[in-house]
Amino acid sequence: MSAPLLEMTDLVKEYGGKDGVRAVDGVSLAVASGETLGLVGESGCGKSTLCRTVLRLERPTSGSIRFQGREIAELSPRAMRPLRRDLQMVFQDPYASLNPRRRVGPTVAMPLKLQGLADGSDPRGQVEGLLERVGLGAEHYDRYPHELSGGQRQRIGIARALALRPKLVLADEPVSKLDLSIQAQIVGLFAELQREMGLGCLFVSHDIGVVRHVSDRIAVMREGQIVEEGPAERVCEQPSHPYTQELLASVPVPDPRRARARRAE
Amino acid sequence: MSGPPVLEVDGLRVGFAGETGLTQAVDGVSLALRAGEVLAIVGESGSGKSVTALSVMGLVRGSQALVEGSVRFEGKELLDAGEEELRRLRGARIAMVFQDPSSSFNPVYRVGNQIDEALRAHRALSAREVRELTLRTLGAAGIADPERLAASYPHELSGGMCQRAMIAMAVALEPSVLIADEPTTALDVTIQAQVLELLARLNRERNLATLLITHDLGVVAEVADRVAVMQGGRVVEEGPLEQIFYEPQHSHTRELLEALAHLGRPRGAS
Repeated sequence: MSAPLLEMTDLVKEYGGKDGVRAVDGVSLAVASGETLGLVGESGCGKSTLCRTVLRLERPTSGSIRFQGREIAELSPRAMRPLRRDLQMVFQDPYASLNPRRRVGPTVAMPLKLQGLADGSDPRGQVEGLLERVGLGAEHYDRYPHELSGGQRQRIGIARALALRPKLVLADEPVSKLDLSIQAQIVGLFAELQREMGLGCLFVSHDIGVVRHVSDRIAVMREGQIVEEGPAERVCEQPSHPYTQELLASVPVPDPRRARARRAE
Repeated sequence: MSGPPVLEVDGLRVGFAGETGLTQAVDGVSLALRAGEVLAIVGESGSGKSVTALSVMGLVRGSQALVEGSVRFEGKELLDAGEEELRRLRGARIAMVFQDPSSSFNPVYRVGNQIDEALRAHRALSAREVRELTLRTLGAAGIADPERLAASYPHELSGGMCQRAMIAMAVALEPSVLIADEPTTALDVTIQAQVLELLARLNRERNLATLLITHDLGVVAEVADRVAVMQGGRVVEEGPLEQIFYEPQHSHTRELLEALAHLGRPRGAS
């Protein structure tokens, strides 16, 4: 494998000064082009802080973040800006991450305009193409977010993230607010687009089932540290760390007979 | 799991008046719940499962809501019961546990005092007797140090601890019916497993009739005896746990199971 697209080394993020919290505590991870790394952990483990730090929405306390071979841990917001074209994010809450007063079209067009990639002054055709790509249609261009379902909104979030043809997408719990049947659709869409575009992806979730479904490799995070990392199937079938084992054993089994057998153990 | 139903819902319809006319949130639901069993109502958001639960408690009322049909508790009709009568039943005979434990407690009072208050609303007990009951019920809910928990404020507790305290409060007066609306949805998966175990144990030990509202078929498989699948305000299928999972009849049940199976499969498998 060539040099990784994203490489974190001993990444640390602390909050609150001397007696503060070490939310991310010495994390080293890498994501290659076209690969999905699943990051799984429970609330408070530091997975969202890790995302925000990699995106440089937060400044790391120490450690290194290399993106496409370039050190970005210390870059200023201004210096980060051109890199954001290649480094995009899909957020958890499709209700909170879309401006309620902005129609769908301009929402998706905004990153194109900001990065100077819009076709002239009216990127409508470009945006309609993107909407179709995520399973929506031209008729959604003039809608407001409140006119869309949760699944449709998350499709908008994905269209917006992919508009710039980024190299890496960070997805922080992109499906956890959605109904199960919609989760399956969105996860499927995400995987398909990723394959087509050869994207690298850091997919963050508390749900090890969803992570397993989308990931090539899985890293398990607890109290700011990575306790286990490996190929997705190996981590799920033969977890080596007790915490991974506990996490897997706690997932409710959607099969009454297997659930009963497990309780009897 | 025999004898007459403790709770019987018959042809329940709940509509809400809005700008665009009447929205029929619950559209003819019939259910029967017996002592000692866990009946799960499963459905996606907007299927009407929570409104069904709230209507049973008499919590959907007022000029905006149109409630029809029948809800009988131990043979007594609740839909035309007065507010005073409902207040005597709620919390004592029919108890409820909600989704978000941290917003179910008042943040500015100690947890123990809030449980005391709920108990004293129903029983004439001295301050010492009521505290004893509070500590005993917290212990029964698997809380290792009830005194310390009772002296805590809600923000000092984890989500799991808060939900245990909530469940303790719900079962303290030995209700016949426990309604749990997404009781573990806000919890981490390792804590969820413990809370489900607690609910299953209490149901068994106290011969409760438990109505479990959830969107999660995994949770259903772990604790339910019977399942009602809701969609668009109706129960589209109802039956014993294994029948629902292994011989689903309705297309919506099959869709829910298929989505779950799909997400459970590793990458690339289809």
